[in-house]
Amino acid sequence: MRRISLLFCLSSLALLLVYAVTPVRDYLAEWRRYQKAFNRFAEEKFRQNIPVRTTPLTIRQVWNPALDVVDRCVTCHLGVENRFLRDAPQPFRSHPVTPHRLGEIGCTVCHRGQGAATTVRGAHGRLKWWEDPMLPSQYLQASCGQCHPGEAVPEARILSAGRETIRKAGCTGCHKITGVTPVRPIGPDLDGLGSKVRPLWLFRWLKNPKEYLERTSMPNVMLADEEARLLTTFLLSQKAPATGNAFVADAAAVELGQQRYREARCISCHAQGGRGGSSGPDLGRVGGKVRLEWLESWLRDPKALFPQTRMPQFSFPAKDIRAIVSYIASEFSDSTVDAQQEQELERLLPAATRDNLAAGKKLYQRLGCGGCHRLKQIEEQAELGPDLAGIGSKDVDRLDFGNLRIERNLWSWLFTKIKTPRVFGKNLKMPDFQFSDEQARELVVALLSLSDKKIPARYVSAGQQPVPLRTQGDFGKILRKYECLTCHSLSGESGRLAPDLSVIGSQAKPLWIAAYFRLPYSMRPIMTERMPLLGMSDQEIQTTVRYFETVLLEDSIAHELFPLGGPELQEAARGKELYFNKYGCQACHQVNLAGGYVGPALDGLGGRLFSGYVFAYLKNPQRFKPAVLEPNYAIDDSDARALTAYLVSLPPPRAKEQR
Amino acid sequence: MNVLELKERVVATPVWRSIFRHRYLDSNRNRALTVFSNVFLHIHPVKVPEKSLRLRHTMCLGGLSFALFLALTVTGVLLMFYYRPAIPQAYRDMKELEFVVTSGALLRNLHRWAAHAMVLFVFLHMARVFYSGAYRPPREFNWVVGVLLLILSLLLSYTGYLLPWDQLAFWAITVGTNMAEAAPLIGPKFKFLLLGGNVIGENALVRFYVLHCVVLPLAAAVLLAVHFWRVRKDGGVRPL
Repeated sequence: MRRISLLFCLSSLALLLVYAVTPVRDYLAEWRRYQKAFNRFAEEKFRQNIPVRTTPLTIRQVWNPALDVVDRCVTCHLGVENRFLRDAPQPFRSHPVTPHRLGEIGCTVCHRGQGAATTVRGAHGRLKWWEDPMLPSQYLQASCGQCHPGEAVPEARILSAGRETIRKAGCTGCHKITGVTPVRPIGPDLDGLGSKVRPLWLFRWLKNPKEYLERTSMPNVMLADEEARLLTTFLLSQKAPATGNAFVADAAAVELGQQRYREARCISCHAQGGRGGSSGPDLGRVGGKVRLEWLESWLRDPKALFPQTRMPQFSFPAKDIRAIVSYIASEFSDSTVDAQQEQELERLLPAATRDNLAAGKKLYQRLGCGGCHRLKQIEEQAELGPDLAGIGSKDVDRLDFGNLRIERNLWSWLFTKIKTPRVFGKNLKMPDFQFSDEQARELVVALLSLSDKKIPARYVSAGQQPVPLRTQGDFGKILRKYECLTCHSLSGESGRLAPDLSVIGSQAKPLWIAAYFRLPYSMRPIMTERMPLLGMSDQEIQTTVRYFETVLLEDSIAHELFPLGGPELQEAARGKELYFNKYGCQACHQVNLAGGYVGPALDGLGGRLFSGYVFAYLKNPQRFKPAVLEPNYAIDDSDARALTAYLVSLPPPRAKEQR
Repeated sequence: MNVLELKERVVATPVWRSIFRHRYLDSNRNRALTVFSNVFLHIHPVKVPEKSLRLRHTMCLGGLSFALFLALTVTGVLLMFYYRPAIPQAYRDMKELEFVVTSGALLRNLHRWAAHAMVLFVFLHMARVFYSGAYRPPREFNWVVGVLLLILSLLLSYTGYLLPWDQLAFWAITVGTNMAEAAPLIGPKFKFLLLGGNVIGENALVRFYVLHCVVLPLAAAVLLAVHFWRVRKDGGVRPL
């Protein structure tokens, strides 16, 4: 009996000990340790006259039911909102400057992790059964995209770059991506391709497009040789209905062609071996690519062959076109191909029999070429790849990692998928875009932003959605014919190569504009870039100028600052004094061939620009050109008026050098 | 001396006498009266032969199962203060217990481990009864009650499985209810009844919660009373 009593007594004691563990553990909880450390830290800071308050030992949290947030991160990260703790050791450091109210939106909306937890491991989410660990800092901008959907966020450069890449690489050809309107087709139509390109070029292009054109958006579809040959045969069978007569290059016309090629500033858009513009394809090896008869009809009317092209229609006479084609044929040949290779390929290409063409068509469809290209005989194809809605919060357990030994988390999976699309298993179809590591990381950020998290409407940024520009009528036709928006922008749309045209009617004088269309020249002493000579008809010039002066205006500035006779001489003289002595404009601008090289020359400014605009520009140069280098001197009204008086009275340059 | 006097006076008050109807004098009659007049004790026999208290007769397995049932009741009631059978609150409340509620993790772990132990001990208890032949007449009825209690223990364990509302819970109940569905004739209807719908959602959670916290414990309590009563009526351990 005594033995049993002793046993009972001992086991009761043991039980009591077990129960005592819990309050002790509670007392020694991690967060209490951190708060005590913070209080010591705060007292020390306080002695140094830095206002840091101690905290009572208690669990702190940010609670926001609308965002479904209970974040106890601030239990240990006690200095997040104290700007005096920017250099404090973690976990007490203050949050970097942000426009968001941390006390309202909490932490996990952006950083992810487990907000409810009060332990380091638990809160940072690195637990086996917690599906949503903290985002590494390199992917953090993904969270910006949850509340700023489908727009460029200037503060989130990586996210914006990723979204831009999604748009430009044509991801929407195969994937449905929320917030990105499908741009289709991103590649050229393939009808008539057989009349355009040479077989060897096509075969090599299909094998590896980047080998011919480094910055093409076409991915490597990873074809075996036989597949590439089959597809070549199929695509070559797509002939244009009216093929021109065989073109014979005219050696005598090469010089004229070169002259016309230079005059038209083709190099502004087309590089030669990497040097030149990037709006159009590099023409360095184009001689090995296209058939000359096709090139001839292309130069005559690009839109007839490819309606979506961004190339303006130049109104060259037929003679000049033949000269330009001869010049291109002689200058831009491809040294990596020769006739022997072409014959070898011709021998190996499968014949264009019905079976082969059907097999080629099948291959074309299986590869999803229709995601980027259109071909009349093949009806629009549905998305090939999975819908990417919610990809940013996909459970790791639902990802197929194949046999790969990489970190088991969403971002490393996405990164690997983008870099090596077919590595996770067989029968995967995604082509290899050969993105750089940096691009891939940007894309991962953009994809991670497509999360399932429900954000209430009041937190979602409406963004500055640009109003789509609708230019109709004659001016709209001209705008599209000459593809003005390839280089210029209008209401925030398109090109960045040339000045914005939104308020051009208030800036430049109609007579000058008309003359400029007939003979464009470069504004700046050090630049040879200029608008190409488009060969617009008088009728077109008149329509364009009339549109500029009636529609593209800024109502807040008057055309003319001075009465009809122009500024008084006295005022202009004071302006000259200000120009040279007070503001030192000659450091960047030239007058009569004397002065700096950064800004445009100012001779004859009065014939080019309205004085009202010059005045408004001097008052705030960045108002109309946000990126302009000219400093804002905060010039007062009377000085600005005097400077304007001086500038508009400058005579035109004495002799215009012919370029 | 004063203490003894005070005790005498307290014991003589009408209030004391209304609660305790007999004196605490160690006589056979008083011992019997103690048992008879107490609702909790009267389930117990007045006299137990010392021989039948030997540990190896019963291994105390039934008693341990009952002790665990009591522990589960107490911790379960305490957990009910913190738990809401709703989506997504159910899972959140689990996290609150883990991270914020004082001794919440202890409470939850006690409930969980006691539940596992109870299933184990009920099984062992049944095995002991079986191997020692204790199911034979006149105890065949109590065997049947015991089997019902075993089923109730398993059902309690199963319904409690869903309540944390995590992945394990969800899929365990998916598997379990699909097994119920495979029963002939009534299977699909029964699954519908159990889930309160065709999928495991908030309805299923509320049903499982009510079963787990009210219906099944009450049924178990009633059957336990019957079970103990029969143990007493059928007599203690007799040598074979």
